[in-house]
This record gives sequence, C-alpha cells and structure tokens, in this order.
Amino acid sequence: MSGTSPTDTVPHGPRPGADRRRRELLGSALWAAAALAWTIAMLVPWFRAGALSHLSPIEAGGALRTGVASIPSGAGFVVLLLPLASWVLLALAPARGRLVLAWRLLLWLASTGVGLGLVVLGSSVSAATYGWGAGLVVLACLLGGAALCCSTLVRREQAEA
Amino acid sequence: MLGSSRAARRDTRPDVRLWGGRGRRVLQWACAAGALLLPAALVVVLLSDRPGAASPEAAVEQLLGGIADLDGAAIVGVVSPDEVADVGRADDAYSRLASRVVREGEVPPVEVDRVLAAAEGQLGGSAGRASLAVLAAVDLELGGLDLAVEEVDDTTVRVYLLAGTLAVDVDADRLPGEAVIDGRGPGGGRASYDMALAEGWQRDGEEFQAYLVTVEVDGRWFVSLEASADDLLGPA
Repeated sequence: MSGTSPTDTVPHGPRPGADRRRRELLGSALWAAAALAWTIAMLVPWFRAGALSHLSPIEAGGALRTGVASIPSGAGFVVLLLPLASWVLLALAPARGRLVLAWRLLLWLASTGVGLGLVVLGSSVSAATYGWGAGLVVLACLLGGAALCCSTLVRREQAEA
Repeated sequence: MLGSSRAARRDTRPDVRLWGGRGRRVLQWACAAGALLLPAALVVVLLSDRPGAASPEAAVEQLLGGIADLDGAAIVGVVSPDEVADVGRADDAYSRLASRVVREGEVPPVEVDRVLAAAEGQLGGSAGRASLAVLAAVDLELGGLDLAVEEVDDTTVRVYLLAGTLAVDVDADRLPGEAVIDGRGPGGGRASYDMALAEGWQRDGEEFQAYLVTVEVDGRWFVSLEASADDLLGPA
C-alpha cells in the first residue's frame, strides 16, 4: 500500500516506519483475502434455490465451452473476467504511488459494481435465496473496501525528509 | 540552542519513512504469485471439466439429475455435442417425442396443484426473470434410479429406466411475490408427492419401457435426443 495521506499523522514510536509497514502488510493481506473470496465464489453456486441454485460461474463457463448454440468454446473463459480485477488488485497490493492508488480505487469500484450488480440480477432470477457464492462476492467487496482504507500516500519531500 | 530546537521539531514530525529490503521483496513476490496462481487454478478447473459421461448409464443419470436440479450446465454437458451446437435439432427431436410419448402417472395432491396455480398466477404470461424466480418454489429430488443397458452397436447404447422416483416438494413461501392460495391449510403453502419415473409411459397410446439412446463421441458418452426420437418413433 502506498504512503500516508498528506494530512495523516503517523504515530512515532521506537521503530521508524513500523506503522507504515503494518498498514501495507494488512492491506496486502486484505487484498489477498478479497481475491481468494472472489476466486472461491467462482466455484460455488451463488443462490440456494431456483434457476441458479446448482450453477456456479465456472460451471456456466464449462457449459459455454461445449459449444452450445454454436457459441465459440473460447467464450467459456469469459467468466474469468469476473474476478480479474481482484487478481490485478492483489498484484498491485504492495505497489506505491498516486497512480497506483487511483487504479486501485477504480478497479475496486468496478469489481464492486459488477459483483453487487450480478448478485442483485441473480437474486431476481433465484427469488433472493442468497447462498455461499453471493455471500463471498459481498465479502470480497467489503474486504476490498477495508484494504482501500489501509492505503497511504506520502509526499515525495516527506519521504525524503 | 538552534540545533536542539531543530531536533525537537524532527521528533514531532510524522514518521513517513518507506520500508523496504528483503521483507518488502518477499511481499511483492507473494502478491504476484497469488495473482497468478488463483486464475491458474480456475483455468485448470475449466479445462479439466470434460463434457459427457464415462458410461451410458452415467450419461442418463447426469441428464435426469440435471433436470431435477434445474442445472443447465449438467444438462448441456451430457447432451450430444451436435445437438448442443445446433439447438434446433434437439428442439425438433424433443417436439417429436413430446407429441407422441406421454407419461400417465399419479395425480398430484390438490395442495400441489394449488401452489402451482399460485406460481402460474405470478408468471403473468411472461417468460422473464420473474418466471424463472418462480422455480425457486419447487424442489425436485431424484432417488432410487435403476438403469439397464442394451447395446445397439459399438457407439450406440439404449439405457432403460427400470425404476426411479422424483420427489416433488413445493413451497409457496419461496415464490418471489405474495402467493394467493385457495384453501391454504395449516401446513402453509408446502406440499409434496413422489413421481414413479419408470411407470406409465405410453408411445402412441401403447405402454412401453422408457429408455433413452446414448452415443459415444471421443470416448465419452452423451444422450442423443435425436437418436432417441428416431429409435422410439422411427426416422423423421
């Protein structure tokens, strides 16, 4: 995670930079947990009853790979786009800088919007019978939000001081 | 004097020093590895999921189980690839079978009819998301399947349905809207009954032992609706 906000005050103790390290480690762990939650959500059904109660996203991808209705089998890999942002966010977790922070915010907003949008859309088909998959997606969005709160930003002159 | 006041100011300055070294490199590598391993795991799952079944019986079992579970992926995965690619062929075969093959079995309890009528009332004649949500009110469970095979040739096998039960459980409380049920009893809107799947099948009015035709493609077995219709009813 990158830097403290210019207005942040970082408590100073016996170990210089310890607070910053703690926040970066915590942020990385939260991004990893969010990516793991998104990945597991691809393997389990999102709802308990109704049309989507036995269908996980990866199984939907598997069905597409059979070439149903002459759809190219490569379309089955499209489902991997759903957790893509979470994997990029995990890769970016230790990176620092304003640009990285901006990308982090945009990707989290995009994945949260898509994730919650799909949960709402799916619930209208499966009568709001939320299951493990939907819960994991919401959890991943919350973990990402918490990880964002660990983000810090440092002015160059502060860092060099 | 001047030096000591500068030192005092430095003491109150926020600690913003960046940390680095080996620990940070480990963190970067760990995050990069995680970002590669997680998608790789999903790709492996996707690629290892081969369509079809290992045996003709397994193919029919997967099809019936997929229907009971409303699992579209399981159904698509075990229907003949040619018919999956050209949905019109499977649709034609299904229409032929539905027009001449019927099952006359037990009459569902009146409570089931009432819940289904309430569900139908919520469909409103549409086939949108709401109509799919109505499916949440119905639970189907397949049990006691007994299948027998008869080889037609090396790549074609008939699979007979000798026994099997489909337990139907309807729960009006799972309907997406407010269920209006005539004569709702003390059990609320729940009702259930068992369908004996192997009994009551008629072809053009004559009873017969129900079966489906499976075909082998690239070492895997699939149910062919087209071959089943041709075998049961004669070529189209």
